[in-house]
Amino acid sequence: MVKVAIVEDEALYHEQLEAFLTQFKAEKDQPLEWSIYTDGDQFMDQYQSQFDIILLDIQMPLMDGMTVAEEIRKIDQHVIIIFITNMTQYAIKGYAVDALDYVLKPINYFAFKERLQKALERLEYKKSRFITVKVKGGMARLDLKDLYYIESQGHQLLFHTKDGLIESSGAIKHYEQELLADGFYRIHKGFIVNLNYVQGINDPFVVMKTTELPIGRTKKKGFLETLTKHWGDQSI
Amino acid sequence: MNDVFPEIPRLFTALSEWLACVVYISVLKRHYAGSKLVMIMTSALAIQALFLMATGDLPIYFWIPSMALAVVMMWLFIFMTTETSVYEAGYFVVKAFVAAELVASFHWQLHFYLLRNQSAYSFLGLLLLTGTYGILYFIIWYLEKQHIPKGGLLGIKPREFWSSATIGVAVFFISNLSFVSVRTPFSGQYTTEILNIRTLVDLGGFAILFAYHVQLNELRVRHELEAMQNILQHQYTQYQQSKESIELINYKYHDLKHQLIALKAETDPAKRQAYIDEMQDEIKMFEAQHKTGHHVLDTLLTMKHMTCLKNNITLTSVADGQLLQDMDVKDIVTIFGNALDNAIEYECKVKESDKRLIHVLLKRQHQFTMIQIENYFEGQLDYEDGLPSTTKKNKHLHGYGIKSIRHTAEKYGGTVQITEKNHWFKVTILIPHTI
Repeated sequence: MVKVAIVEDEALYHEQLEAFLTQFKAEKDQPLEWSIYTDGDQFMDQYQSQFDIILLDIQMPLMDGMTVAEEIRKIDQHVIIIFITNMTQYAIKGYAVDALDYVLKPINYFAFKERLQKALERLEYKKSRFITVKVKGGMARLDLKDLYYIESQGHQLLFHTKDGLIESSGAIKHYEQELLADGFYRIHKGFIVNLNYVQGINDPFVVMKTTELPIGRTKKKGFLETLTKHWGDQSI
Repeated sequence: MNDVFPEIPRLFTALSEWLACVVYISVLKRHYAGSKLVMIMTSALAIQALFLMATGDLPIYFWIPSMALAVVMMWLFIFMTTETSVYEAGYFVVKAFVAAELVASFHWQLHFYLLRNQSAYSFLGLLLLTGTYGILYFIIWYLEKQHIPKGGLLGIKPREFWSSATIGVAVFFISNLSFVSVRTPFSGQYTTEILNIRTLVDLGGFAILFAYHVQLNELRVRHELEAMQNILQHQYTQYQQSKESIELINYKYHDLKHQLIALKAETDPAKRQAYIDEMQDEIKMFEAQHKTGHHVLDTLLTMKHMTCLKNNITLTSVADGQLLQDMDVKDIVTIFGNALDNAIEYECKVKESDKRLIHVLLKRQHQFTMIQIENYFEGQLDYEDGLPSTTKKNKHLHGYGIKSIRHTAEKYGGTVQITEKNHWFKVTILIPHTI
């Protein structure tokens, strides 16, 4: 079930948005539910990261949409915000609150549907996938979302994760193939990185959240291309 | 005179022809790789050798048709394994064939001089064969490699093929004339002389073809650069022009304020209505204003937005212009101008105006700048070298639009990726910040 919030003060528009969501739900056979808030203040009072997508009007009395978005980002970095507006001069600054696209008023169904579809795809990306790795005395289940990078040291494989280091064995090559479609890339004969945790390039190193890892000379081009494709796919 | 000395063993000729093909295939863009390629190559060698050995004892008048057939087989070999067109494969076959003749002839002359009394298949004979073929083909490979474009495709047209084919045929006939008849003014009388003529004519032919190839390649590169330069100039001129029209809009904005004051004072309802209508139109233009924090991008987006308004295309943009501070004006214009022009041109062809959507995104992603231009898209794309080949009639210009974007991105150490998913065509550019 995907949960949507509509934050919009004008009845005309929130009725239209509701109608569009109903139509979308039926057309795509997509489980959707939504709640309506008519001002930003009221919305923020009840906000507890319970939504997946927020359709947000920019021009509202009391608290405007941009301020609402800023408040949301203070507590929730993941929810998808889509502005519904005719105030393009504000919407164009959406990058500041990670609201990467907007729907123009007057709203037409087609444009709305396409935006919503993309938002749903982005949610799909965020779903986690698990892998099992061999550890001393058994197997461990590992959430790929929490895996920063894999390091190969002789016959040992070190999984650097959010919750610490997991020691395993095996060939790094095996994981290169298995994790390719999950946004991982082998940047060096000894390292596979999670592209979501790449921060930058400091030649000849890839800057990760916690450390810098060397990049193979022949891998640089492929790495940058894969990263571009990966991030390009994720932005809506 | 013909029977005084032995001719090149047919097996060697086959080997030389095959090796020449392999050399050219190795520098071109191939269809296959790995074991599949090895398999095709091995069978090509076997077929070529069997064919030449089988036709070795035929009478002299069958010699030319059988040589022609051998050339056709070489053509098939190159055409099948590489992504060349019919004429392009033909062009490279001519080169490969002349190279094969040259190497085989050169080796045979050496053999004749050094190991006159030994069989071609003796230990020393084979050693000489391996040595000469190895060294000569390495040199040829090395020379050719320098003059093949990155993607391995030269875009040979029929005219270029026929020029090279003419050279190839002439070389073949002159070099082999003495073997057919000694009674022509160009034939040699003595063995060494005959061998010399053949090797030298082949060498001359090879050199001419090589020079021709280098020239073709240089022309191609120059042409490509010129086309890119033209596009850039075009975008830049457009930018200059629109800068003026946008200043005009700014004046209009101030005008509107005064018109409002006048409107308040107007009492005649008809005149009032006319005022309002006029203002509404003017406001529409003003809506197109984009303030991103970078004046070049603002101007560019505004100007493209006006084109979009004219064509009922909905353009939305989220852009942090600050990120472009260190980028050259011409480069900004190249990237956004070309990408948006392509998108706009495509959207104009979409029948329902509701579906004409373009979205521009420019944002910081960690220590990178990400630029993304996407448009709604119906249909299929063909890809060429990782970039889509154009659906436009004016194939050349369009392809260069995307190529110049890539060129510009690479200048800043970045890359371009083009994807298409669920009816959205996306150009994503990622440029790392220098840390």
